[in-house]
Order: sequence, then structure tokens, then C-alpha cells
Amino acid sequence: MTLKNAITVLVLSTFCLIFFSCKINAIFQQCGYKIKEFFPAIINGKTRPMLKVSTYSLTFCVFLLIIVLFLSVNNTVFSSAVFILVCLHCGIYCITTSVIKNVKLTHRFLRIFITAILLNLCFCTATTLLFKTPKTHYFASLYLSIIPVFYPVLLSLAKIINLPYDFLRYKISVFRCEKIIAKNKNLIKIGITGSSGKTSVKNFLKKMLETKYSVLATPMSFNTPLGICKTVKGGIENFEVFIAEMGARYKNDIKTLCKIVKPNVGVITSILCQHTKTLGGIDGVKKAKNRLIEGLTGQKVAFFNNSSKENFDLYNKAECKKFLVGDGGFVKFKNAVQTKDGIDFELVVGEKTYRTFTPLLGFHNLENVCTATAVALYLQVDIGKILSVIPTLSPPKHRAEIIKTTSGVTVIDDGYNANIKGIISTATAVGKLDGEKFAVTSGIVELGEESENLNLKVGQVLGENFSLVIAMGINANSICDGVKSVGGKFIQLADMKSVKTYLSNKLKKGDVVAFFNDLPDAY
Amino acid sequence: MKNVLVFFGGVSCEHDVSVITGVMTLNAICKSEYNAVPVYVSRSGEWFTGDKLKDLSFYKEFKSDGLKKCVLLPMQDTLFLLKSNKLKPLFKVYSAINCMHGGYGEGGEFTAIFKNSKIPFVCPDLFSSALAMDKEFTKIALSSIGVNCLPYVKLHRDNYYLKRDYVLKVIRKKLDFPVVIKPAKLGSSIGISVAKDDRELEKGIDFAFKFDEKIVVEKGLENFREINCAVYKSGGYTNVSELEEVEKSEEILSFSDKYKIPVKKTFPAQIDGEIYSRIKAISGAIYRKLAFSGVIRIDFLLRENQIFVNEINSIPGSMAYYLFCKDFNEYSTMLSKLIEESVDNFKSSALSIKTFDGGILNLSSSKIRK
Repeated sequence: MTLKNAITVLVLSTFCLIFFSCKINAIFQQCGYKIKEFFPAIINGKTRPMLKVSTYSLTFCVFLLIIVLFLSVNNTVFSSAVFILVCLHCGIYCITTSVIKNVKLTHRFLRIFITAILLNLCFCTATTLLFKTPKTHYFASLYLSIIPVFYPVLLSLAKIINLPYDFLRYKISVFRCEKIIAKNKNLIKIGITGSSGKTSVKNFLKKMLETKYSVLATPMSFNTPLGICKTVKGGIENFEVFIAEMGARYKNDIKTLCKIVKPNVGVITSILCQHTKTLGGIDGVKKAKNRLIEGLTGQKVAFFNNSSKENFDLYNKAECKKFLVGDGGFVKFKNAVQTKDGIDFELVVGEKTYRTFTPLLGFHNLENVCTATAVALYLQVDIGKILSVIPTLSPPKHRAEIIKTTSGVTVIDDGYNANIKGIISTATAVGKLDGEKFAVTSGIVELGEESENLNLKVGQVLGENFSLVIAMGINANSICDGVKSVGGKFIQLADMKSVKTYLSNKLKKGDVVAFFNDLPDAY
Repeated sequence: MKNVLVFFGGVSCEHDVSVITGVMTLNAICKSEYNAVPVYVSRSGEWFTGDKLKDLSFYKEFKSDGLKKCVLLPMQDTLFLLKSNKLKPLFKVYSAINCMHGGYGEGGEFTAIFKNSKIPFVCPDLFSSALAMDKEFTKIALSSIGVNCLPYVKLHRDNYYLKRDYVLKVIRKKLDFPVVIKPAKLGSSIGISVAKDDRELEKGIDFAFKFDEKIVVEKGLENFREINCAVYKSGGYTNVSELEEVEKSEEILSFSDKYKIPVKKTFPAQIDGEIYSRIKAISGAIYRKLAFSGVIRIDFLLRENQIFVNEINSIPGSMAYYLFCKDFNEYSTMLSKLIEESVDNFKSSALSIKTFDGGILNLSSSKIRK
């Protein structure tokens, strides 16, 4: 094989990779670059991305072999045939594949991606050098067709190669972050964790505290060590309060986060069986969340939302200044009524009761409001100021967000709400509204063995509260069984696209559509 | 050529309406006398200039490419271009027309910028802009000059929710249903609602508090007519427009009624002689006594023989030109008058002494104690 051909194969395989990697890359990023989660996601994921890639590659391989074996062609014709085939191959794949959430071009991602491409170049050169036979065509074409299938392995290899560098970088940024936080000695540091409501409580609390302090909070759903480092990077000497949302996918996540932030105030919103697969059962979840209480420093105050038995256990166990919110606590709500505008309710603070209103959906949000109120009160924010904030609160994006469209349809976007409690709360809230009600859902993912039962329950709850349940994804069957068991109406559709066309013909003024878990590609 | 800046857009709920007023004004300014320069204030508050901004279709999908960022600086009547953090003087400014409605624009914020840059301005001065912006202060000022307003109760978000039931009792005692609930500092009809019972009152207050921390609850009239009248001053003469009547479909004009669906308007309004002249006289008096400048539009409510002032728009939509002018040519003449008037005003205010050297800083430091 001539040098020219070798270069052609090099270029073509790189080209192939760039096009075929789009979806796989997105999934890799969504899995947090964790190889352990990445492979199950691409093989068993909702849309079975690897299956598709393999089918394409196989077809391509067959075509190439036909050309090589049955048509006696010279090099030029072969090269151009390969070129056209690669273009077609990539083109058709790209057109037929939809990426729900595009890959974010972060430094880390680019580094891994470029390493993967360089690895490909190495392999490619090695292949051409090793097989210096007259039949190089076979190998070249085989390589070209196999490379998309081989890509996840390349990516994982690239990640492993990058590991030492990433680790060093991670350590350096964590070290810097710790130093920045430690420099501000009077900073009140609040850590918020829990299975649901973290982002809501953080946002509500931020708004309440801002009436008295200058507050820095981790933006959006940044809840990993690097997320916190990024937030703090710009300096925090002008802030009086720092609110850090802490996520726990793995056992030691919160411990690491506590080491960085050194929180004085800990807030545990609620404990549910979420991420049970990676944390090892509900006890594992409990233990993981309790790390926040163990990790408190300085004044050590903890707030627990008394919404489940697990949380109450943690409250009893805690050995610091502690407050219970909700039933039996000093801040709670009563007489709540859901309307299309929001919730009318009474906020009970100690002995006093204030009648108020908040434009939110679902009573789980009231628990979040109460938790935020309790912490704000503890930090000496005036109750008048807190009460003036409550009617102006809004949910975070895609968390039971009420959107009123111009066509008169109310859309409830609960797209990020991936837990049973949130779904029940939103569903029962929507159930009390007027008009035809539609629910679109793909169920709950990542629950280990309980998956089927929980999705059955999702189906039951939705079936009871909605006029029609539209189910999609891998959990669609369990959901539909659930709806059937309570005598509700349901329909199973393939993807968001078909849901959209289906709904656009059906909706009329006054109707309500609720979207539950429009999840990214990984699932 | 005299360069006249036209400011429009703005960080405001009425951004889009302001764009229409601004573009209309830009194209109406007499081209042989003045060079009309757009200054578009984006929703995030940045200033842009460029000829593209004179075309209304440009705003359907606004993109800042091809536009230049610009600023005004203290004590320099020059428009500066801002390019990669460097300033480049563009030209001397003759006068500035403020076409911004509501938000950070109508309440005197931009008047302050013009004054600080020593630029004549076509819009009310600080005091009167700020006053017209706030519905409570408007009422206080109007009653002090003997003009009728509807009775009202002012609420503040900080203490309303602390003693909600008590406040509601006060409102019920002071005003009868129906009542109108309005955010204090918002223009147009955003956040406004009418309440006929306790439940609606509570909902209306919650809704209005989303837009402003201060709201007014006003007695709602029944069987009333809504009359508008505009005023501007030029050459020492106060021009009071003919009256216009707004036909109402519901109790109040909601935002969509006012701007999307064309509201039926009768012009000139059919009002009998005595009331007609009283409204015109009140309009002129308000303009003079509260020291307005530029064009203002006063909205009256009329029930039988009672005249109430509903609100004062210190920068009315389309500069209320349709109340004065038959066509665009006349609007062009009106704008020329307004621009010259602004320059005259500026000259006469420049006569007063602005600084005074009392020599305090020349005293030796030992004589100044702390």
C-alpha cells in the first residue's frame, strides 16, 4: 500500500469518527466520563445507540468487501468508492440520529476527544504498517468499517490516558477553591443535599437571604466538586453567604464536597430511593446524606425536612444544633389549596400563622418553601422580608414550571423531576385543575430491582389524575400497566417527535399538558 | 447638520411598544434640518447605534451584529462609540429625544444621563418624570394642586403579608367594591386587575406584587368614560390637544387589548362644552404647575360631571402625535418644535450659576476640624 493510501485511510477514519461520535460523546459526557456507567448506557440505553452504530458499520463493511472481492478495481477507483461510501455512511447516520442534549465543548471533553482521535491515528498507522501485504485493501476497509464500533473503547482508553492529568488538575482546583473559601473567615456556608428539592430550596433560600446578605450560590444544578470550584473561582471576598448544592451519586461525594466547602449549616431536603443503584439501597442513601451532618464545621446547625421516616431518623441521630421543618417543626404549612395560578396556604412560624400565596405547583414545593424559610429565619432575616419574597418565587427551569401559552394551553414542564415523590405531588396538583389533562412521561430510570414497581406506581398516579397518559421509552410497558390497573386511558408512542405531532392535533384552549422526565440521551 | 439622538427600547415590559414609537419618530424627524441618530437600548440595557435600527422589521429577530455600541459621558455633549473597551468620539449632540416607555427609561433615569452630559432633552425633567412614574406620588402631587383623583390605599410588599387580614379590612373599610389593583411603577396595563369581591382582591394583589413591591388599590368606577388629552409646550405656548375617547371592552384595558388588538377610539371625543373646556384647562394646568416638558398624555376618567385624573404618561406611546397631527408631515413639524424648545430650555437653565468657589478647600487643614 502506498503512503498516499495510508493517509487517505487516516483522514477517512478520522472523518468517520467525528461524525459517528456525536451521540456517543453526548452520552459519555452525561455519564460524567465514568466508564462504569458509560457502557451500560450505550448498550442498554433507551435508543440502543450502539446497536444502531453496529448495524451501520456492518452494512458499510459488507459494501466495501463486495467492492474489494468481486470487482477488480484499481486504487483510484477504490479510493473514490470508499470516499463516497464513507460520506454516505456518515451522512445517513447523522440524518437519522437525533441528539436530545448536545455535547458541551468543555476543555475536559475536548482533551479526551482529541486524545481519542490521536489514538485512532496511531492504531491506523500501526495497522497499515503491520500488514504490508498486497491485500492491504481488506484491512483498510475493515478498519474503516469497524472504527465507529470501536470508538467507545477508544474513548475509554483516551479517558484513562487523561486520568493522571485530570486528577492533577482536579486536585489543584480543589486546593485553590479550599483556599479561596478559607480566606473569607466570616462567610456563612450552607450545604444543601437530599434526593429532591435541592435546587428549589437553594433558589428559594437565595432569594430570601438576598434581602439581608450578599449571597453566592452554585448556579443551576452544579452540585459536584468541580461545579463548586467553578462557582468560587471568581473570588468570594464580597459575599457573606455561600450556598452549595451537594449531589450524591456515590458514597463519598458529599464527604469530598464537605471537605471543600466546610459548611456551618446543613440542610437535608428529603430522602427517597434515588440513585439507590450506585449508593446501595435506602440505607446507603441515608448514610451518604448523613455525611453532610458529619461534615459540618464551626457553629454546626442542621435542618431536616420532616417528610419521611428516614429524615426523621437522621434528625434524631444528629448530634448538633438541629431543627425539624414540617410536621412537628417550628416552620410548617397548613390549609393549602392548589389553583391554576399557584398555591394559597398558611405559613406557620412558631406560634404565629401568616396567610399567603406562592405561584408554585405541587405541595412538595411548599415543603421546600418551609425549609428555606426556617434557614432564613435562623440567619436572622426579617419574617416580613421572607413573606414578601414567597409570592414572587418561581420554580427552577423544568421543575413543575407553569407556562401559559398564547393558545390558551397550560403547559407544566416537570422535565427534570425524576423521583416518585415529585411526580406524585405534581400529578395530584395538576389533577385538581380544570380542563382536559395530558401527561407525557418516560418513567423513572436507575432504580435497580424496584424499577418495575415504581414505574407501575407512576402509571397508577398519572392514570388517576390525567385524562390521557402518553408513555414512551423503556419503562412504557410498566407505566401502561399501572394506568390500566386504575382504569385510565393511555397511549404508547415512540419518541418526543411523535408525541409532539400527536398532541398538536389534540390540544385545545383550556387544556393542561404536563411533561415528566424528558430525559437526556443516556437513558 | 444638527445631530438628534432618539433613545428607545429599554429594560422594560413595554420595550416593544417603545421600539415602535422610536422608529416612527426617527423616520419622522425633518431630514433637511436634523440628522436623526437611533440609540437602541437593548433588553439587557446595552446601547446600540447604526442605520439598520431605523427599520422596524430588523427587530423581529434582533441580532447585534453590524451595530455599534455607544455611550454618553459626563459633561461631554458628544456621542462616543465603544469598541473593544476603547472610546471613539462620534459627533456633538444637538438634542436627545427619549422614546422609552416604562421601566428604566420613563422615570427620569435617562433624563439624569442627558443632564449629566449637558445635552438638551425632549422629555420631562427629573422631578416630573419620577412623579408621573409612581401612581401614588402622582396622586399626592395632583391633590396638592387641586386636581381630583380616585381614593386609594397604598400597599407595600414588605408588610402586606405580615398582616394581610388587617390590611384587607382597611381596604374594605375605605373603598367599596369594585376596586382596581395596580403596580405603582408600571406603565401600560401590565399587572392591573379589577376585583369585585374579597377573593378577587387577594388574587389581584398577589398578581400585582409579582411586578412591583409597591401597589395601589383604587376605587373602581362603574359607567365611566375614558378620555385622553395630550399637552406639549413650544415657544412659550402650551399646546393642548383635542380630546380622544377610548372605548372599553372590559372594565380595564389589559395589555393585549391595548397593544395587540386595536382599541376603538373616538376622535375627537363627543363631550359637551363645559366639561370639554374643563378637561382641557386641567390638562394645561397640570403641565404648567408640575413643570413638565416634552409631550405628555393625561388619562382622565369621566363619570357624569365628575372628572378624575387616572394617570399621567410622561412619555406617551407614539408621542401622542395622533392627537395633534393629521399626518406624518405635521408630526415632523411638531418634532422640530419640540427639539428647538428643548434647546431653548437648556440655554435658559444654563444661565444660572452652577458652581461656587467659596474657597473652603483653600483653608489650611488645621482650621478644618474633621
